[in-house]
Amino acid sequence: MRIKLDNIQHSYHDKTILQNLSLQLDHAEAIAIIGPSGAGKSTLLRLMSKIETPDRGEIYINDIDVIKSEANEYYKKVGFVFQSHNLFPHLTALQNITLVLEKVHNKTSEEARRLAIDLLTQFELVEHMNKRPSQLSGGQAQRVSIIRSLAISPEVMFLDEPTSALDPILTREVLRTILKLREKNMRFVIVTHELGFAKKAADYILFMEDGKIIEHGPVSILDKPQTESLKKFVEYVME
Amino acid sequence: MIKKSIHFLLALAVYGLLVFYIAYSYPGKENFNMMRLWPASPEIFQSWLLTLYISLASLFFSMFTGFVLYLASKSTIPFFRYVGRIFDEIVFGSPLIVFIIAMYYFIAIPTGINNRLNVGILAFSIYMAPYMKSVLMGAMESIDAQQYQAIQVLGFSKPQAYRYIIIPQILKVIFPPLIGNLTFIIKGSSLLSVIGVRELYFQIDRIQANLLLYVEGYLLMFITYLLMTIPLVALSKLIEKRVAV
Repeated sequence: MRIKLDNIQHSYHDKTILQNLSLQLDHAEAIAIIGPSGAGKSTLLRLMSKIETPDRGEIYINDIDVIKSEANEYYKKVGFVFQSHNLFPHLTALQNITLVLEKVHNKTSEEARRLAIDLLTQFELVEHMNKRPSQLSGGQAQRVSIIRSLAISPEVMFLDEPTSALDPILTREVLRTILKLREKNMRFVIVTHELGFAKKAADYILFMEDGKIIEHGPVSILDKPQTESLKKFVEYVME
Repeated sequence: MIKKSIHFLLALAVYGLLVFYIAYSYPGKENFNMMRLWPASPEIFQSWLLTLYISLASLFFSMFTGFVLYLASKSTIPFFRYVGRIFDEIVFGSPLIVFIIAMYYFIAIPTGINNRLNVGILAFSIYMAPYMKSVLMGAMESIDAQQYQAIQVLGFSKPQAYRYIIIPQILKVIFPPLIGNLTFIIKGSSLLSVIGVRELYFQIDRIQANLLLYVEGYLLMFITYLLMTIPLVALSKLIEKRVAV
């Protein structure tokens, strides 16, 4: 996956969140964005996934100019998983997946159903396919939402702290699902607080603080941080 | 399930006993005969249909007035919000009967609107606006902002989002309170008798006075109104059950 961020600036209500952020990555496959709360991690993810538009700067994902691209065309190529599952409550787990495939990606209902059931089976959720989100556990619902994003075969998936609303047991369940994405060679960018998980699932780390990328590099930087900030952060999280 | 139905039958039996007791202890019971109202049944049926028409028409128009009030409450201009809020207070604070009389004598007569039926429907359509606004607000707020974000990133077009995601959810939450409002209008429509609309209450009241059949008349009122409201309440419960998510 190729990512290019050029001089990104973004603010909310006069408060600067990201400042002159630039980055060029050519070969990262699974990127984990880590850092303390308020560092701007989720904002960066939302900009890369076109949920928001930066005040200034340019963003390229796999050479697609994110800001200039037509929204619905871009969303056909990327998937996004929110902190909470955001499944549609009136639809079953299966329908949540097939609706997108049929209506946005023009699959026949037969194809959509087959693909959705195949994925639900692979991720051990097929017995819950006829349940509505309210009948699923938080972990199951989040996994269905990951499958919903995966089903469209995106070029890149963006995951915004997908376990932050879950307890430790459900978190493990969801993290296992994301590790499975990695096994399937899915390219993704994830914002996470789980350093252990980041080490296992990612091949590249972005460490952010105060709206800036402080340090980035292969996962090994977590073992040998070059900056004092990352060193402190790792020590703090591992405590 | 069986246990529940036994409880229901027992509860029904209690009401049956109560009716039996009232009928048994009523002094003029030997003269009681519902069939003596039969000759007036065409007029009664017509007025029953008129009540239904008034109620459905009022419900229909109050959706528009309610929507206008909803827009006012969401306006970025404080003036419109205040106009809406003051209107809410007037409606919530006044009895329906006073509102109907005021509409008739202070608005309809001075402006030359002579059709009492239309005045009645107009009065209900205006009176129900704040209640309809609440229903709309509940429906709109039932879809949280995060769902709109999911709709966006999944790439649904606006028409698709409304057709498959937003409207189905709104319809599900809107029906039970909408039926509640319709029941309220059906019951309240009896008050239109004060301005001489020949609806169900007005007609039975007139017939029972002519034929001196007061007990039979009031009993018939109970039955005919309940024939409209009970199926609606049952329908509302059924919808609620079906849509429980």
